[in-house]
Amino acid sequence: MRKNKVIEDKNLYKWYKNWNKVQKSFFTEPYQLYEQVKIEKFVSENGFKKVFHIKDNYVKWNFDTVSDIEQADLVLVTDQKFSRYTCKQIIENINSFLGKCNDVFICLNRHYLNITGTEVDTSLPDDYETAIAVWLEKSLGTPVKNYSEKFIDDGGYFTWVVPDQKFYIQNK
Amino acid sequence: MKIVRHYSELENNIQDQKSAYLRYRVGKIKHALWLKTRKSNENYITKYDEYILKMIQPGKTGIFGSAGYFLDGCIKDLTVIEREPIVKSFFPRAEIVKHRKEIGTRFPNTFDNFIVTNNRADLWVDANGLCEHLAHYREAMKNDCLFFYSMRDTQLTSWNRFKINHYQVFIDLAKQIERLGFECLESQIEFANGDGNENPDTTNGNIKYLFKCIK
Repeated sequence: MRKNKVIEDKNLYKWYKNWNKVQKSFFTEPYQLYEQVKIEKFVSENGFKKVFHIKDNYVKWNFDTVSDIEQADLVLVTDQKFSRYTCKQIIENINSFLGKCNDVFICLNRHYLNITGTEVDTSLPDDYETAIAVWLEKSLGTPVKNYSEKFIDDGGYFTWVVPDQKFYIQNK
Repeated sequence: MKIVRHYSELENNIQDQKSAYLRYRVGKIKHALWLKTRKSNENYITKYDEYILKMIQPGKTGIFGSAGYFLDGCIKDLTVIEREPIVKSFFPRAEIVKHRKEIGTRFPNTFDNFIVTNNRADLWVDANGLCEHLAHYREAMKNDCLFFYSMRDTQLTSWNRFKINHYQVFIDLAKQIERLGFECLESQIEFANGDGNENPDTTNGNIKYLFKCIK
C-alpha cells in the first residue's frame, strides 16, 4: 500500500492569470468582453492618457498606461485581490489612490466583499448591488458614479476576469 | 469583433479532446493531485482528504464531481462519478452521469460514504438550488451513510454579504440540508482574514460539513 503525502492546498491553484486566454481558446470566433470594452470606452471618452492600472491577469487592454501612480491621470483597479481586503482596508486603499490621483475607477468582485464576514452593516439596503454602492459612498463620504450592470451572477459573466461592480470616484 | 456579456452568447465551441480535457482540468483543482500521484509512489492528498480518510466507515464510497480518482489508491471500493465523458479517457473506471438525478437511479441506496468536494458545478445557485442537488445525492446513500460536503462561500448566490452574518448563512444552510433527511455531525466554517489572499481553503472549499444520512 502506498503512503499518503499531505500537501499544502495553495500549490494547486494557478489558473487565474491565464484564465481569459485559456477560455478564448475554447471558441473559434474571436470576441471581446463587454465589461472590458466598457472600461476602455470610459478611458477613451474621458480623455485619460496615463492610466495607472492595477491588475492581476494577462488580459490586454487598449489604452496607454504609466508605471508611476504619481504620473497618472487615472487609477484603474481590475485586480481581484483588491476586493479580498477588509472593507476598511478597501476604503483606505481608495483614499490613498485619491491622495495621489484625482480620478479613480474601481472594479470590485461582489462575491468577495466583506470577505472576513465580520463587517456587517444592517443599515444598508437589502438589494446587494445597491448596498455595495451605498456602502462605498457612505464610507468614502463622497458621491460615486456607478458603472455596474444589474444582473444575477450565475458564473457566466466573466466576473473573475473583470470584477463586476464598477465605480468612478473623483476628488472633489 | 463580437462583444459578449455572458458565456452563453459564445458559439462554435471547439469539441476536440484536448479542449475537452483542458476545460475539465481548469475546473477541477484537485486533478493536479492525480497528476502528481500517478507519477509517484505516494498518494498526494490534502489535509481535508486526510480528515475524510480518517472518518470514513467501512463499505462502499462514492465521490462525485471532485476529481475523486486521485483517492483511488486510498479508499477501497471507491466509485468515481463525474459528468464529463473526457474523464473516462484517463480514468476508464469512472462512472459518467449526464444529470445528478442519474446518480440515485444508477446507484440506489448504495453508498456508506459519499463525498462531494468543492464541486463548482453545484454552485451559482441559492440555498434552495443547492438543496435540490443534495437531494439527488441522497438517493444514492444508504441509511447512516456519511456525507462529506464542502464548498466555497463566494459562489453561493443571492445573499447580501454586507447585511447578513456569514456564519449564520452557513449554519442556516446546514439546517436546511438536515431537513432533506440528514443530521449534521460536524461543520467547519472559516472565512478569509482580509489580507487579500483567497479563502482559507480554495482547493476544498472553506465551508465543510459532515452529515449522516437518515432514512
